Amino acid sequence: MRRTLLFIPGNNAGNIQNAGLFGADGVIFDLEDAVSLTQKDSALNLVCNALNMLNYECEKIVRINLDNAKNEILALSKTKIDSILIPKAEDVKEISKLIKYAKSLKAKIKILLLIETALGLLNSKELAFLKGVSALCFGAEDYTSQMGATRSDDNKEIEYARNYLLNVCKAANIDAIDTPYTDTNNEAGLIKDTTYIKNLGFDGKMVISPRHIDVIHNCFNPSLAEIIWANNVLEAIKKAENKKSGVISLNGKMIDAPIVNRAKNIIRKSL
Amino acid sequence: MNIDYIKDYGEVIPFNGAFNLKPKEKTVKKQIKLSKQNDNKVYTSIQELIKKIGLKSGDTISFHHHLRNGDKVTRIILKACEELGINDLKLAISAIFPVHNFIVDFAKKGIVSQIDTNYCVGEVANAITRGLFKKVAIFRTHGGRARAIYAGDLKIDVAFIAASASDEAGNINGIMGKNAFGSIGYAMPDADCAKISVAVSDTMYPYPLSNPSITQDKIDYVLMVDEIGDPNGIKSGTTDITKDPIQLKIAKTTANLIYESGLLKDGFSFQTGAGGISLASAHYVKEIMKEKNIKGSFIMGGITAYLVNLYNDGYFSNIFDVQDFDLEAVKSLRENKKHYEVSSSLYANIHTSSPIVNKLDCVVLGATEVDTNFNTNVITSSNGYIMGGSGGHSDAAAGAKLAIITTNLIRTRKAIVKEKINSITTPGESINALVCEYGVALNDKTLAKILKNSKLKIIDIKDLAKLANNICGVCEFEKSNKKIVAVVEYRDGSVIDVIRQK
Repeated sequence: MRRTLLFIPGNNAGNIQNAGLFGADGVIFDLEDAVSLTQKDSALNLVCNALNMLNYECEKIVRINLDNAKNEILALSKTKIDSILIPKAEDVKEISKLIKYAKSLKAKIKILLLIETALGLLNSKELAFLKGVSALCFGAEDYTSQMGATRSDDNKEIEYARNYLLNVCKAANIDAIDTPYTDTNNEAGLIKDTTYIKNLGFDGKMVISPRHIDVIHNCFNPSLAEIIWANNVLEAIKKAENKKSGVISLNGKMIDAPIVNRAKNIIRKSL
Repeated sequence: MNIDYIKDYGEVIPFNGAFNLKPKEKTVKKQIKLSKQNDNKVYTSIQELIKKIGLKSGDTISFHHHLRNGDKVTRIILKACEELGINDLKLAISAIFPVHNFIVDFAKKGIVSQIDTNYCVGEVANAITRGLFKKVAIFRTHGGRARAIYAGDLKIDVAFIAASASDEAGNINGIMGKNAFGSIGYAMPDADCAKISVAVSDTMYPYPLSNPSITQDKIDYVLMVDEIGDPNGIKSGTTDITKDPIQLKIAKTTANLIYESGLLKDGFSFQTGAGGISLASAHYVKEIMKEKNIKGSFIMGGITAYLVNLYNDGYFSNIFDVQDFDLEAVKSLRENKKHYEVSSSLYANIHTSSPIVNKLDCVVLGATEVDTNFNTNVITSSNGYIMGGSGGHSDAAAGAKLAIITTNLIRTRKAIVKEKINSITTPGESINALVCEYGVALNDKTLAKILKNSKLKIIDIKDLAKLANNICGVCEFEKSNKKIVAVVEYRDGSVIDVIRQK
């Protein structure tokens, strides 16, 4: 489950120490944009030591630097890391090589790709199908900057990118993770944005403030009405199977495979 | 504690449990005086008044701390004493703030030789720790100070009581006048028992003053000065909910713990402090009360605008107020019918029929260090330097059904929960639970049973200490053998610990 992936600056020992305490489904230790050039080495050391020493009860992800990817992957492969987030993923061949290299060092490591450029989005339909990729994440800030778009409250400027990336992820059967909500003091805006992307079909959202985690979880968690509906669907299916009935209906509406899958998904998310 | 006697303190009664020391039969009576129709109580010359009352070297003079970091009265009086050549004074001041840093110079000059207080921060705290005072300091609790005064353990020769409003007969309060500071509850035992009580005010009202907090029969003289202090200095902590995610997490866990304990129901009573985790805990408690439609009975502690809003919004029906931490609280004490001013004795004196702390359901408290037996330090830092005091910590912990310590497990690379602590202020036996960012440690078997099936993350306090040690490294601990600079007196008058020189 990746409802929330919390960014933690890789050069801040206090934040790294507390990263696992906020209940996020995953933490992304950032070695890239959050860390200045002069602190890259020390941040890598800090993150490697923390991964080996501290017990995080969530997915442990590190965002690496594309221009020093191999060195960082080598160092991280010796830690208790779960996943690597490769930023600015564009070139299918380059990413493919990096994935193979990472897998050769640590077979079970998962790969998340950050799609944050126009070319990255264009190539995402191939990137999503690379073996080992388990999620595509959308980075709206870099993307809109390159597009020359102005960020707005209604997010129309990223609607196409969101929908395209989502379609690719569903086709590849991997997780689709949305861009972070950057206004840390606007809870109503966060709820609106999260509800919107959840209804589109996204699996989760990257997060830049720990205070956003519970809010996002509440949006993603199925409502009581949804859980009751899903249980009724599964109960109806069970009864129909026992009766060996081919046609299944609930409250006069036919239940088919997509409805059953939706009900199963709701129950899975409610657990 | 293997100490029988401490010079300039006296015989030591070692702490032996929160409720095990039975009080000796003793009461102090106010000195008998003859008052005549034409007595003039009002003075404008400090020196003239001091000469009149016969204050002399070696005496004990007392002050309250309601003006907190805005107090000017202590300086006015001590300066006059210096000019009159009075020295070797014992300063019984209920709390000391950075505004009182000048006392260090008075100690160096020999004018002040001993401090008797409930809380101390700033240069005076450093000076006590470094052993700069001639005599050992005494740290009491708020309730313990009231107890000591009524029991005659703390004998006050002259109580100088700052009052924002007075009349010519000595009826006084802290809610009127240009420098209103709110409740005057910590001065009430002083007014009751001091040999001489002097009200120090800057605003005179026609007789009779409406709503006197201390009445004319307990005030011997009224000293009029230009300014008793700056009421903006009473502000303590913050009025905004913290944005620190760790503090928010601790506060949310604390509120959930209170709810899961079963105490958060109609009639709930609650004490919490100002600032950081305390205020955020109050916020989350309010959210639960709102959701479950719970109406509380009373709130207590240092009163802030946030607590006043809880009263105004109907979450609690009463406020008991010993001191105010902002001007909104002062306004409320003046205007709200069920916002009651109470004395420190009524608040927390263990040797009375029933202090209010005994009616508390829950109190949320802080700590500078906690050991694996839940013994809590709120007087010294991890380095052994004085940086606070019990205030009402030990009193409320002992009285409340549920006393919760809230703290980060690690602060500035140092473990807060550990095997040994520098100084014990509040005994672990009166603490029910500790909440930190990693979960909840319990010191209460009944509570543990109640919480068995809750969603709270329960952790053994020894495991918390281990976790902190793993992250920070084991904190070196060395008990100093240097001279005793302060006695830590528990609320019943026994000595729970001593602080040694650094």
